[in-house]
Amino acid sequence: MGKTVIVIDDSQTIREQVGTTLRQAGFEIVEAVDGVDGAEVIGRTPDAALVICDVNMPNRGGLELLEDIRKDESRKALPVLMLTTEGQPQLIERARKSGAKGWIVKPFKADLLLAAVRKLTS
Amino acid sequence: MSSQANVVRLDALVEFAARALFESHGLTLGEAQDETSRLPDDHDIAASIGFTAPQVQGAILMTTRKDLVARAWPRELRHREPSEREVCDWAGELVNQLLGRVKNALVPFGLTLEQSTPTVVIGKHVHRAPPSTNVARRYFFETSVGSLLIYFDAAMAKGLTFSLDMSVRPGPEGDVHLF
Repeated sequence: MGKTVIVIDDSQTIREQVGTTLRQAGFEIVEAVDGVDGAEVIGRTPDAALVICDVNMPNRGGLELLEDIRKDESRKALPVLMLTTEGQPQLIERARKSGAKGWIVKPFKADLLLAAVRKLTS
Repeated sequence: MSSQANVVRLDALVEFAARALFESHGLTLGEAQDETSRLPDDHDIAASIGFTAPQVQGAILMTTRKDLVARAWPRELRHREPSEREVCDWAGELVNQLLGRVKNALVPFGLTLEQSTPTVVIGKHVHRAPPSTNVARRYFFETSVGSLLIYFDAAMAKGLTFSLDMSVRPGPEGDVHLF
């Protein structure tokens, strides 16, 4: 069984695009539709090896979710990779300071995403 | 920089962003045409997303045909045809990515936009009402699968200038930054 990656994005197409890319490489995918759903999914997926998370989402944004994860002693080591249309340096720096492991500006290149996921889950 | 110079700069940014976005999804946009009177009757989907900053508030509206959106469907998923619901989702994501590119292009000019989530409408013969903002730009592109219209409407504060600061650079699209 492959390592589990949680994909959090309000776009079904993006979730499926990321999921298809990673499933073909042997990863297991669990999806969530926003930051609120993402927190629930993370809570019931203790074996997750990585979270890939959008920034701008309804209900709860990705950076707020990231900050919540880092405050949770049981999940603070879980690596988080941000995947977003945002490229503002202040937001990238906020994510870095909050403990994100990386930042990708959409649209993503499948081979680069896969390489980053492999590195972060190795 | 004058307001007219702002508009010229904006036109270049939006056109470049649209062209680069659709090219990355495998669809080439023709040269932007200055056709203010043409309202295509075959457009059956519209996607809009709002933005705001201290001196700017507005929205981008994209109208086109559903089959054009389907043509720009992600490569990884092209083993099957998208459903209408998936086309709507993708149209919303495309206008989100378009605004993302425009936002990132504006970063070196000191303009930091906050954005809404996208809204998508499908239907026939839906046309936009006249805009009430002081900036209302329209970009019309032909493609091999029909036309694409992008409206950029914004209320910009008088005296707003785009001051270029080359030391501030956004993250480039597609690249991976590992911390």
